[in-house]
Amino acid sequence: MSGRYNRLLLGFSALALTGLAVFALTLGSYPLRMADLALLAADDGGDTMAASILADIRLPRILLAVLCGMAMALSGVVLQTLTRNPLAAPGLVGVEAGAGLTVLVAMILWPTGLPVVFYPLAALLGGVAVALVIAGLAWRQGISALRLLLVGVGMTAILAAFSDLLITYGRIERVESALLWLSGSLHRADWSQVRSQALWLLAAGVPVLLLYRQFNLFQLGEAVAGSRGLDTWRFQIVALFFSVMLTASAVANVGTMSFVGLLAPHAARLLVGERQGVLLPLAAMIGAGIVLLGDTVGRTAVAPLQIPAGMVVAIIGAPYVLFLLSRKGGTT
Amino acid sequence: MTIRAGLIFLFATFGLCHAALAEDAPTRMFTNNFGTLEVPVNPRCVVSLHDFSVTSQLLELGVTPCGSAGRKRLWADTLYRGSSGRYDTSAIRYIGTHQAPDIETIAALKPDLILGLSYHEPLRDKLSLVAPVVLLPVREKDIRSYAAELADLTNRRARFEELANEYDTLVEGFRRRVPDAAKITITPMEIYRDSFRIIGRGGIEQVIADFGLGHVPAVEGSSQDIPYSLERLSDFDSDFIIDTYEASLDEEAETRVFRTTRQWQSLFAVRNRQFLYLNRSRYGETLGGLIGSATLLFSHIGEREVLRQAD
Amino acid sequence: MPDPLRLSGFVLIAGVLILAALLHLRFGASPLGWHVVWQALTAWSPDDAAHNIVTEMRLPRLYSAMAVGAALGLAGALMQGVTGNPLADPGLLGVNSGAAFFVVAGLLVLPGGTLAMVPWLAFAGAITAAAVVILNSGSTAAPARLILSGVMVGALFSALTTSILLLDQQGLETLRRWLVGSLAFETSGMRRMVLPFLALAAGIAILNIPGLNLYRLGEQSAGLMGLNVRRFRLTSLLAVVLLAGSSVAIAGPIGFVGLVAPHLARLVFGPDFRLLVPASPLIGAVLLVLGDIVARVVVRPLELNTGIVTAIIGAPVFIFLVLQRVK
Repeated sequence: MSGRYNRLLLGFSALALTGLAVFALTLGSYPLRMADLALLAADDGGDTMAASILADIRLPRILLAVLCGMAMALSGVVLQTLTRNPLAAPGLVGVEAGAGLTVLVAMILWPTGLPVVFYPLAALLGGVAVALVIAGLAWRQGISALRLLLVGVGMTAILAAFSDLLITYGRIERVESALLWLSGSLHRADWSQVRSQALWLLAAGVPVLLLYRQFNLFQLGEAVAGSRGLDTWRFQIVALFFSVMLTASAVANVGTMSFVGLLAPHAARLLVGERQGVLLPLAAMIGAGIVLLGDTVGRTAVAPLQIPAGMVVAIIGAPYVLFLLSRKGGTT
Repeated sequence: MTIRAGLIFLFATFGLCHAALAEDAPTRMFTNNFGTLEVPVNPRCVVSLHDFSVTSQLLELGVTPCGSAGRKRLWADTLYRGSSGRYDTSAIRYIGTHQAPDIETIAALKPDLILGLSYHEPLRDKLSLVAPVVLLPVREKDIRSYAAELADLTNRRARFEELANEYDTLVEGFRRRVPDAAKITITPMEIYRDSFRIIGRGGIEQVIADFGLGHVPAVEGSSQDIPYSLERLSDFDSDFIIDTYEASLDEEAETRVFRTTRQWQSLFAVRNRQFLYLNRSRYGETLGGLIGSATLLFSHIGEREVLRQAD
Repeated sequence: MPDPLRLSGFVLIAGVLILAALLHLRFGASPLGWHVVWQALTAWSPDDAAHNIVTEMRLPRLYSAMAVGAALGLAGALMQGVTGNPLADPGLLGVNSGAAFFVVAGLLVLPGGTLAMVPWLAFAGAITAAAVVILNSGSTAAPARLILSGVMVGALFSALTTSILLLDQQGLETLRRWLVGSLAFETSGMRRMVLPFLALAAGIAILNIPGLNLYRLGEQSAGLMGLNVRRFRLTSLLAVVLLAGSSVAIAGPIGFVGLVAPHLARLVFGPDFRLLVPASPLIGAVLLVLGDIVARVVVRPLELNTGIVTAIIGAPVFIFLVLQRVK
């Protein structure tokens, strides 16, 4: 596989993602056809409602799906590279659950206290706390992937118990909307969320993309990486923090979608192997595609009912992971 | 890059279109405790975001909403709680669940007024793109106040007065027949498999208060939201106990065993056949619900012999 | 023959169980004195409201807690023995979300579905999910694979359940209460129904004691020493599935009791399954009765869900075991 192949692949997936986004723009309960898009472009008065549906309902929703998918996928690649385990997704090791719980607390116990814009910060707090605890517990001369995964399962169980507590004893109206958010829903997507997610992606996603050489080095093993001048200890901390930032921002904006961080990196790896320079952007685009597809199916398949994107992704994703487990044994 | 270009372009078009958005129909200002906004004087197409309160109250006032939230059943007609079976709902377009209504479906109806509850606040900005959004104080104030606001919004004040009068007549009649109502205790509750709550729907709580009926000490300081342990049921034993059932599932089976226990059988209200088991979804949180619940309680308490614990 | 030291171990556990049972009857949402509990048990009077609380609310709940705790304890011991996996727990098999999915889908698909069918659907769903997870986790003693399969099956079924509940909103609040599960449910009928399954599972466990002991030496050595490995594994896992399914049908999701009970039993009695098979259910019963007391007392007069309490207490034990056992 040459650089040419990689460039082609990246170009093709960018094109496919754009195509999917434009196609999603034409789908929805409000009747709009491609021709309407053209008419709007010509700006001859036309249907003002259509313009507003496109600009303020569909477009932010599609962009938020794309950005969150990218954040989740990148976060997954980073975590999997750090642990050298393809199953170490943020959703499995408890980072998502930690971020989700803090947002849930904000939504149910303190609904007026925290503006929605600050949810990512709250999520980050929870995510970082859980990540530190889990990493600290699983540490044994470097992060042991198996321990990390299993401690993560235990941690997720504790956090889920506390979530249940909030859901069972919280006020019913707040719980209803919290549940919808928790299962990964984009139906409230607006421009402020798009801006917030874009900023977080800029702050944590771009540095990850730029660090691809270090990720490549790290993959050679700590001894080799160290001999070539990589401070592996510092690198792991920084990368882990970026990964948690990406997950936390996505969770705060659209809720938990555990499978994106697992599926997108895996699919990308099937195509380009472990070369991080290509793997990272490709995984990001595949992740964006998965969330966008899940949300588009969820909002159009049985409209006017809205099936949360996280549900659609889980129904497709879980059997795939089960298949992976049964084939590989899942311990490596 | 294509996306960003599209984004900038759409922003621009939206800005132009928004400026062009002009109202032909006459409008006026409407104010309630959720704010002031411009609403049409004679709304043509009203969308309701809540079936049990807003939709059923609209129908009672004689307004058929063009769209409403409701409960979707997979192989049956959509259920609008409190309205289906009482009114013709075939002209109402289903817009999704009350927590996640489909904004595009609402927009396709081209409504000129959208009515929601306080918890629809997070959706208000987006829905305001489609039509003015009025939030009603269904949970914050009593049924009558929000129904009055609704009647005002939809120009049905005369119908509102009619219904309110009918209810007031019932209340007066009961007060006349049962002058010492405060000496009769009554507890509305919902009993589940593992717990119970002190709650009365469809206006029952309001009727109890308006009738001037009394309650046992345990009811004071109890909260609607808290499920109590069944062990504490006897603390809430009163002259009358009201429980409700959900007809759509055989919910009666859920508590059938519990109702054979001595703990249940030995309650004063049960022992003396002063236990009422009412349909939970028959009446919405509406004036019609108040009238219906008042009629039920009138005949069950005011028009029969009543045994009291105190005697 | 068990030596006196071990015999005294059993006496001790039985003593703790009786003590826990008495505490369970004494404490709850309504404050009752010891003498009331004693009178209700010895000189019960049908007209005394307090007596009825003891006999009609707390006693059945105590039975449920003991039955479910014992079933989960035994299931955990069998699972850990057969899979050679110290982290195995019937609660991690995805049984709860499997049960929930079958309940919701069953009420939707079956004509004339009523709540009376819920326990049966739950039982069927729990068994299906457990079977999928066990089949998918393969024959190797890889702890991560079994547990991750359980997590995945759980995620799949709960996503399907949520989607169905959105598409067909049948008494959402009512169903949600059923799906969460609780020991407070009146389940005397269910307990009678699952009794044959529990007895069958216990019988299998007792018959498989020699096999369990041989199997500790490894699959190959056990085979060489005359154990029919295939039949042994199959019957044991069948017992696990029956036990897990029964407990879900009675009380809904109760996690980690099946994990902790066998480990505690091993601490007291060592690795011999002749002692572990009777001890694990006893300890499981003690744990769940204690957990249920906590659930009913900490936020009095409200009650917590017992499954939440066992998760908050049991999950840290799980993490501790991971740190100790997994390199």
